[in-house]
Amino acid sequence: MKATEVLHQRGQSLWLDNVTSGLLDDGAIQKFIDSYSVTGLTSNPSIFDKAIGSGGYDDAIRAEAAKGLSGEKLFFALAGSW
Amino acid sequence: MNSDRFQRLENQGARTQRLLWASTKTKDPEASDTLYVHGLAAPFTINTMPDDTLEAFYDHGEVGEPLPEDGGDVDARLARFTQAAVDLSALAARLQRDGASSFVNDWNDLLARIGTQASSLTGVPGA
Repeated sequence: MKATEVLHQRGQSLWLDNVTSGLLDDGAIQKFIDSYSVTGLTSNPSIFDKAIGSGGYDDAIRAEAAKGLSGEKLFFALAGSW
Repeated sequence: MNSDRFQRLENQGARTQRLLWASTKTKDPEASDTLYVHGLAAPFTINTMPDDTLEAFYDHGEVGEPLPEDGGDVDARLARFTQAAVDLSALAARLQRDGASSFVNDWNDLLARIGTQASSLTGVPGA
């Protein structure tokens, strides 16, 4: 049994801490669930900063900005957009 | 959590709040890439890590003894730092302050980034 599965069996939850929308879109997340016993996902402002800077949220930004959202409200709309 | 009081709450559907070890990637390039995942193994906790750390632990990680519930030899270990003239309270306060300030900076950077990106996409300054 792989070490990741042993931890899971012993009651520790393993979460991936740099979730991106791409990971969900291309199905790569399934590998983390099936092979690495991942049961949760989390993110942080720094990861969002990079993802937004690389253009990953451009479509969502256009859509939400067109609704008049900016600043924190725009961020929370983006963060919930996948 | 083993108390009668908590067991009664659990019967009512209460859920135990779990401790979360956040971002346990090894920071020191000289150290094992599974150092913290190995060392922080404990039931009823969460361990968050990036994909390379997860892959490293999957590939060659080893699960040892879980963290002792009573903290094990933690007091003796901390006493050795104190003997070596490390001011534990001051160090802990500084770590907490630095950590919080780093998150505040990241948050402000993120909001600035969103403003810049929105402006360049919509052509509206300060959008």
